[in-house]
Amino acid sequence: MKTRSLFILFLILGVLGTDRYAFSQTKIPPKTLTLLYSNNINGEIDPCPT
Amino acid sequence: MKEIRESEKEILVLDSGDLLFKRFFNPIPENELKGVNEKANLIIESFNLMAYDAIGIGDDDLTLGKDFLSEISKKATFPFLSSNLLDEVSGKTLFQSFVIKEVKGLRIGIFSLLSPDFFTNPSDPRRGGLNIRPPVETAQAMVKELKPKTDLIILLSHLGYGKDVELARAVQGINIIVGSHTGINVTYPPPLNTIILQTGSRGIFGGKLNLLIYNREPIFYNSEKKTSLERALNHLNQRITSKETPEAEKARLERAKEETERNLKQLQGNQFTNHIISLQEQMKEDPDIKRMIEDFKAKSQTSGPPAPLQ
Repeated sequence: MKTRSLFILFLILGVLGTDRYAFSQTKIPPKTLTLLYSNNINGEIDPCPT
Repeated sequence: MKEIRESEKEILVLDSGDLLFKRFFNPIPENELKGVNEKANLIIESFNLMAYDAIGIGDDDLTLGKDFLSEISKKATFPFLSSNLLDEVSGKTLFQSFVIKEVKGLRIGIFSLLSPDFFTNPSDPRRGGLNIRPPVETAQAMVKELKPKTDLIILLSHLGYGKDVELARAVQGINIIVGSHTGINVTYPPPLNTIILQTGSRGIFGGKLNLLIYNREPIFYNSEKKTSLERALNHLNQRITSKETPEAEKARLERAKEETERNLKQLQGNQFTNHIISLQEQMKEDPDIKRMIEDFKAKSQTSGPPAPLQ
């Protein structure tokens, strides 16, 4: 009887844990980051050097 | 730049060097020194207005020597970074080794490396008074220092594209390399755990990298790869269901479909998209910076170089 109760308790905890995991995977919106980058400007100040 | 800042709040603006000067193959003539110096100051002022977050040091940024670069760095509202450029006398780094920026709870460590290979001539005046620590060794030390304190590590690299790829393979833990010196547009970063970026030379292009971060494991896949696999899967499905496709061909298509689905399943988690931007065509001019440049040009024309002696 005691073993069966423990089994049911673990089953419930397992289901709750899975649900929470699934929630965290699907419901939390992703973080975003935009990186603007430049290199080798080489002292140019004109918009389109020739 | 202002528009991007308004529409996309979580933003970092970075430069990886060779910013201030063109390549001078001979010593700068005396009568050009003042103009070159003033133009470098103008670039720093405009970078202040664009609110850059950090820049790395390139070999050509040392054209007027380390003291000039140290002085001009004080006028910048953003840090000059170099993790392996050392003062020959003190043995200390000439600039800040790294900076940690926090953007909406995301902690980003940024450091910078310069290649000693770009100073092949031992009497190169740009290297005067400087020592350069080996890049790989320095990168390992930087990752060790930054990893516990940050969620993402960015290297502003002045090593050149080939060395960036080698470094990404040799040193684990660098998530993004903003490269330079080679001056090539890297539209599709190579398929590595590190995103390697770079744009063409002379201020014609800029780059925009968008990250979508779903989990703490900072490995990213190119979202364009997912799009192209989805397109391929659609095409395969159409051919498999078509009555015109011979049965023998369908078996081969089924195998290709399974492989495409397997590849798609592997693309889980964090994503990136990278765009190379033609600055003249795709970025509006900032009126304040435009005015500063026009003033500088007008002033240069009136003062001009001194007339040759008769």
